[in-house]
Order: sequence, then C-alpha cells, then structure tokens
Amino acid sequence: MALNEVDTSITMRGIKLDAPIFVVAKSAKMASSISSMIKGIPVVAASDKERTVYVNGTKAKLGLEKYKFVEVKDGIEAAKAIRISKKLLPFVYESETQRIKILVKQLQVAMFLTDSGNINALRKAPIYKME
Amino acid sequence: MVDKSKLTQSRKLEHISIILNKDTQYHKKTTLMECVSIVPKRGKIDKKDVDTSTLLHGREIAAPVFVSGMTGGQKETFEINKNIAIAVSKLGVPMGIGSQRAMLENKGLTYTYDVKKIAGDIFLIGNLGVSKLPKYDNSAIKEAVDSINADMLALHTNPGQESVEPEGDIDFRGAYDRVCEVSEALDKPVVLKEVGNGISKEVASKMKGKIYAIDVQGAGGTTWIGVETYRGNSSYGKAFWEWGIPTALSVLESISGFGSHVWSSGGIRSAEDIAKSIAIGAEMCGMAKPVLVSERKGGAIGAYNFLNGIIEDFRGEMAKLGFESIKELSSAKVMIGEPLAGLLRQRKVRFRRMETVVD
Repeated sequence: MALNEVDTSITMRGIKLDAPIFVVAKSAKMASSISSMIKGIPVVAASDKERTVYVNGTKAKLGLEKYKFVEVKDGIEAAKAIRISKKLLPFVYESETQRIKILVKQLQVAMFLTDSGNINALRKAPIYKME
Repeated sequence: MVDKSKLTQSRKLEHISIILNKDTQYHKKTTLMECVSIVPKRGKIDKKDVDTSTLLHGREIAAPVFVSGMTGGQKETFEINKNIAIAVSKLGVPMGIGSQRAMLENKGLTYTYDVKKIAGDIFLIGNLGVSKLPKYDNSAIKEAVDSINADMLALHTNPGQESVEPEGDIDFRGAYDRVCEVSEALDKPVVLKEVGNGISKEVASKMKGKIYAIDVQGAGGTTWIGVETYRGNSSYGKAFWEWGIPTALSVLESISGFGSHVWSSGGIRSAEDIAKSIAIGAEMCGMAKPVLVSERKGGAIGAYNFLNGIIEDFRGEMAKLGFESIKELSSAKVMIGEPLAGLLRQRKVRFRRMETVVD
C-alpha cells in the first residue's frame, strides 16, 4: 500500500473523526475552543462526567461511557492502545495539542508499517508482546 | 528542474557520514542473539580441524559470512566498494553493494558498483529498492544486474526508512507482485532483504517458493529510521527508533514461514553471533557497519583485517564447541532463553532443535 492511502479515520455514532485520538481539556470552554482549532479531532473536558465531546467546535455524544482511556506519548502508543482493545481509546492532554498532528502522522506510519490500511485492519495486526 | 541523479548521490554521502559520525544504533532493542546458547557437539577440537567453508547457490565460499550491501553511486562510495571487494576477494566470501538506483538514473555511475573489474570473480550481490521496481521494466533491471556481472540480486524493502526519509518513496503498492515478476524474469537468484527492521513470518510465508532467499536485516544494529531521522530532522521519526523485529526472532520467524535459505543480518557484531545464527538455521550471516568502519580507517587492508579476524574467531568458536563443519553447526542443538522463547511461543514459531527442560 501507499502511506498516504492509510486511513486513520473512524466513525463514532455517525460522526467522522480524523483519528481515534482524544484531547482532554481542563474545561468545557477550552474543549470547545480547542476542537474549533484542530479539525476532526475529538476533545473532551476532564471535568465533564457526561463526557461530552467537541468535534469541529460542535458538541457531540459519542457514548464514551463504554470506553476506557489511556494516555499516550506518541502515535505508536496510540496504535497499540487501538490494537489492544476496541474499548480502549488513546488520549493526550491539552498541553500536547501542538503535537496532535505529529501523533496522527505517527499513527498513520505505524499503520502503514503493519500493513493496516484502516483502523479495522489495525485491530487485527500481529502484535509482539515483550515479556 | 531537480537533478534526481545529483540528489541520489548527495544522499549516499550523507548516509555514510551519519552512520560513521552519529549514534544510529538501536538503544533498547537487541538482536536477541544473547538468548541463544549452542549445545556443544563434543569437547574442544583443534582449530585446524574446523572447515568453515560452505556452498552458496552451488558456489563454494570460505565461510557463511558476507558483507551486506551498503553503498554506491558516488565517487567516494566507489572507493568503499572497491576496498571491500579487494578484501573479500582475498578471503573468498561474498559482498553486496548498495542500491543501484543511482546507476539506473545515470549510467555514468555504473563504475561505482562494478567491482569485479578490479577484484576479479568475487561473489557479488546486486541491489535495488522494492518501492522503485515499478519505475523500471525487467530488461532495465536485468541490465543493471548483468552490467556489473552480479551473481544475485537483493531487493530491499524499507517502508520504515522511506516513511521517515525526506524524499521517501512511500508507495509500496504492487510491490509483492513486482518482486515475484522480477524473480521470475531474471536468470539470477533474488533475495528479499530488509534494512534493519526485520522480516515477519507473514511476509516470509508470502515469499515462499517465489525467491531464493530472505535476508532478515533485523533490529539490533543500525536503524535506518534513525539515519533518516537525522537527515530530515524528522519531527515524528524519533518515535520509531526502536521499531523492528530483533534479528534472532526474525531469522526463526522467516525460517518458519519461508523454509531454508534465510540470512541473518542486522546487528551481527561477533563470531559468536555468526555461530548462533548458523546454529538456529541461517544459511549466511551478514555484517555491514563494522566493515564500513574498518574500511574507512584502513582501506582495503582495514576491511581485510577485520573480516579475516572475524572469520578466524568464528573458526575458533566452532572449535571451542566441537563443530568440525558448517553442516554440523547448522544441525546443532540450541537452548533458547527469555524473552526470545516467549516471543516464539506467542508467534507460534516452532524450532525443532530447541532443547527443552522438563521439571
């Protein structure tokens, strides 16, 4: 496959996300503001128990109460989280917002190197677990 | 208009400079050869009773050791190839050359790969990138191999490197089919090789029956993702520094998927590594950076001294363990410790000659 053919997007409750990597903001106001700046990336407020998500500046309900979240430091860790479980979603804190494009790129490269053309394929990629 | 040939030449020099002057080794991952222990066949024997020679595609070579293809396509890189060729001609072992893309772009650079003209009838392995194959038809590829009288053609697959390389070719569509086509069309054996990230059982299985050999070039030595991260100052490349399948694991996975004719390279640094590689089933064992360093320091003599030393150490290793021949060593019983043993279980890779301990 070609790297630029690799599709990191995912659709949750009818809403298309550029990648299943979440940004956690301090407040709902910050979440709304950040999601307007970074298109296609879901942002959620840490303090919001209902886990309302903002995508492209708009509120959305993605049913996040079913999921567990894990903080990641790069796109490879994000790929691993996505691979390990359908119920596990990677996130970064808002302080890392500048890096989100890099993280998505790293996720794309990790998918390319594991011959995963999309997120569903990544979920079946072989994994090596070092003991 | 960009002169592709000049860009390629400049890239070659940058690669050499980075490998020699920067830290481009894996930091955490090892080859996992340290998990392999060879069960001695008999008590120590005399070195003079050890025969390290073997056959490679019907041709006798002095030891199952080769110099991995590294460079070419530029005046300075010709010096490197020439000196290594002189060294291997004295020792009777094969060598590879770096990607011949430069000579396909500019025929005037053919001389930088054409080392048989100087070193005589050495066993020479040509080299082309898998992602570049769609650009050239079979006759152009055949000409590239024949014009330097190469005995084999290595096709390197390097998606990790290309993903991080500033001018990377990130389109590997149709790569598998093209490799099979080239292998079918050429009258020389084809080897699929990685460049430091290793080959998995799944990829090896796909190639079974289609090509002559797999050169795993596993993780544990130089990381080309690291080399390109330096070159392009990549913002995302560093995260992939440790990406790859360790050499020992990749050899065993490839044998499981492909069968015989699997070559062990990537982080091979000692005679012990070579002995272990052969013991776990590798046909050949390749080295690159240590040879380059020796050549850059001492020219042909430097490369010769290094390679001769390694081959003699390998003979000593075989003598210490009581193996008289490569045939005996390749049938050795082996103990495999953790984490390699655990990874083999996870990956469902069986190794019949593994000694098991029963509680």
